[in-house]
Amino acid sequence: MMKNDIDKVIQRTHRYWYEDGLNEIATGCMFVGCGLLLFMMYSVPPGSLLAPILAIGFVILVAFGGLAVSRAVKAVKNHVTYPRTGYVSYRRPGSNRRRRLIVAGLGITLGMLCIVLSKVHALAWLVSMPMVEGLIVGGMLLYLGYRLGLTRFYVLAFLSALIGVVVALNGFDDALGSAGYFGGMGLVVTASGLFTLRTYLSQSQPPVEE
Amino acid sequence: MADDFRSMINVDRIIHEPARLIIVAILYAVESADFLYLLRETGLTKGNLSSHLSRLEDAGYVDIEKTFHGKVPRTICHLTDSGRAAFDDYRAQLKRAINTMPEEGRAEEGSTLEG
Repeated sequence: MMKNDIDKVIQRTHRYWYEDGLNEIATGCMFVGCGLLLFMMYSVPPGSLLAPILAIGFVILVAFGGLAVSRAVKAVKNHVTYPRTGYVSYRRPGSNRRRRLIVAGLGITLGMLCIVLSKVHALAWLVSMPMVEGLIVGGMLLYLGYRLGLTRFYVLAFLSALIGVVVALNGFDDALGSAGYFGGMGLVVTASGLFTLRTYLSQSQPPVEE
Repeated sequence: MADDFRSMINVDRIIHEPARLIIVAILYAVESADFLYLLRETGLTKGNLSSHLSRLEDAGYVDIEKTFHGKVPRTICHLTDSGRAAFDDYRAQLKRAINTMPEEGRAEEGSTLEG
């Protein structure tokens, strides 16, 4: 048994969570929901009663969306994935100091980059919300792709940055631009998840009664 | 340097066996995994996997729990604290031995310490 093989076994085990595409489908749907809510918030006339309700809905979606996605994915996996290819329960991520430092470092770097770019008039468009969102989500996908050895996440990271740039170049209002980014990225992530699920289902056999 | 190589002779033989090493590496990465998952990932036969899991259970490295999901039986396995510590020690020993290898041999042998 090789040392590198041990690392690969561990990486492969972590990757199993993403093997069926369900997490992407749920996350993509959440992104589309965010996009729709942002678009509705942008569309309602000022002073409308709907505006605070939509704002509260958006905050709830952002705050509890991740938890809801995780629960929904686990529930579907119980019926679709675990009977086919086995059950796995993951450890809760601990307080990894190195990981926190990397995230903090990336956040500070991105923040400083935004400040510098906003001072250069010709490049000010780069600091628009959809651009920053595209880079943050893209960065997270890039990290996940590297950590898990998942090539499709690199493609998604590139698409995230691309959608951010395209929306930013169109010069939309920040709220409308964010709605466009989340809507577009949500559809891309959902499509990627559906394709992965189709592949997974075609490659795995349903359980056979013994 | 020689001590590090010599320490490889004293590696935990229960973990060092390739099939059990894969099982322990999988369980190290998760909270728990069921028999079906281990069967699929290790490529072992049911009998072989059962025998290796029993060996690990006897050594106190793995806990095995039989549950039901609806009407379907599910055998859940998870690494005990001593199993986790033993795997950490094993990896540290392996790493030390690789780091003491000469540079030219490390590219090939460094990642291929066959069990």
